[in-house]
Amino acid sequence: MSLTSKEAAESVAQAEEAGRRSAEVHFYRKASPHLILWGSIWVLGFTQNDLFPRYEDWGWLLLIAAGVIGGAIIARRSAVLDRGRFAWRLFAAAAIAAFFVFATYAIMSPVSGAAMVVFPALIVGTLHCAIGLWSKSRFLISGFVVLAASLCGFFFLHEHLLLWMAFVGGGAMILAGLWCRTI
Amino acid sequence: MSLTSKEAAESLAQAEEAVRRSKKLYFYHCSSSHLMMWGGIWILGYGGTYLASHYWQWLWGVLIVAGCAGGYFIERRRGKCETDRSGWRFTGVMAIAVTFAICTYAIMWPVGGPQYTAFPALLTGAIYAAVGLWTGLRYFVTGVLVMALTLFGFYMIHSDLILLWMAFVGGGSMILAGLWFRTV
Repeated sequence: MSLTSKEAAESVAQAEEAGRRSAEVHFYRKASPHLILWGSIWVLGFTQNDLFPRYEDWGWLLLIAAGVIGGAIIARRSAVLDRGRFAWRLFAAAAIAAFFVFATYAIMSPVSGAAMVVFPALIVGTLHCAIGLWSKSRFLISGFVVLAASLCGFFFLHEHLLLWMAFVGGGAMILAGLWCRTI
Repeated sequence: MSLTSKEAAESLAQAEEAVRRSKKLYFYHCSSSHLMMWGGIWILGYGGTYLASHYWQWLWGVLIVAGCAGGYFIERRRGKCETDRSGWRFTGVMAIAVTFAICTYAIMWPVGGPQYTAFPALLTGAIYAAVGLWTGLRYFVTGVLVMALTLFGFYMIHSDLILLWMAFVGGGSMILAGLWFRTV
């Protein structure tokens, strides 16, 4: 049985599509625990901001430290499959993001409390949208939801912004993490 | 001649390393045109703003649209010999970055001239540094350099000369990085 050049090209295209799809599913699986972890931190952080504003600095420091350690453990666990380069990159990416946030506050100073609450959410939403452009449409949708929810909260909810950010921003990330598991 | 399992594993690892290295070189090669184009736009934008500050919105609007179109065409030209999804993605990334900058200005309002000047450069530097973590050291170095030069200009230059600083130091470093990427 011989194969025409058209059939051969179709087979190669199908194989490529299967490879792309498999990489996408793998990415969703890998990203899901990180999304759930950071979504939970988001909920806990903003809730304690609203309920115990006196301890907000310490609370956030502890939560961020827990998140970075948790993220590294998750990444190391999946590193069995990924040759272990992901963990230190995650640390470095978090350091770059933190530096960018502090540098932005420095050049935009004085920055209002509401802007400080919403800005990290804008970064997260934007990152999700950018990741979503590379065939991961679920990230694009969750990114838009986070962006839109953050801006709505900033412009329309002056009194309950912290709780809004806790449950809408964090909740959107947790739901996106659970959604990524269903694929 | 037979092959032991250890030799087979080593051969596979070498092949994987060669593929990884080849992808990295290709990425450098592909992105150098974009870097040089955006470096040129950066020089024109900040230089033009210094010379005709009343028209900066129009100038940057035209330059950003031209940059998106240019980036799209660079990718399309390359798309003739490989998969062609990156053209619209590139435009999408630019649109997302511009939206992010506008949202940031909106929530941090009022924003003055020096902040308008420094924030996009800071954002660009952070993106390059982060991309460099996954693609290669040269991107990381370029990103850190752009961020450092931006903050230095913001804190040390307290006049309109910051625009010229950003034009030639920021734009120049991107063009030099583009040329550097071609030497790999």
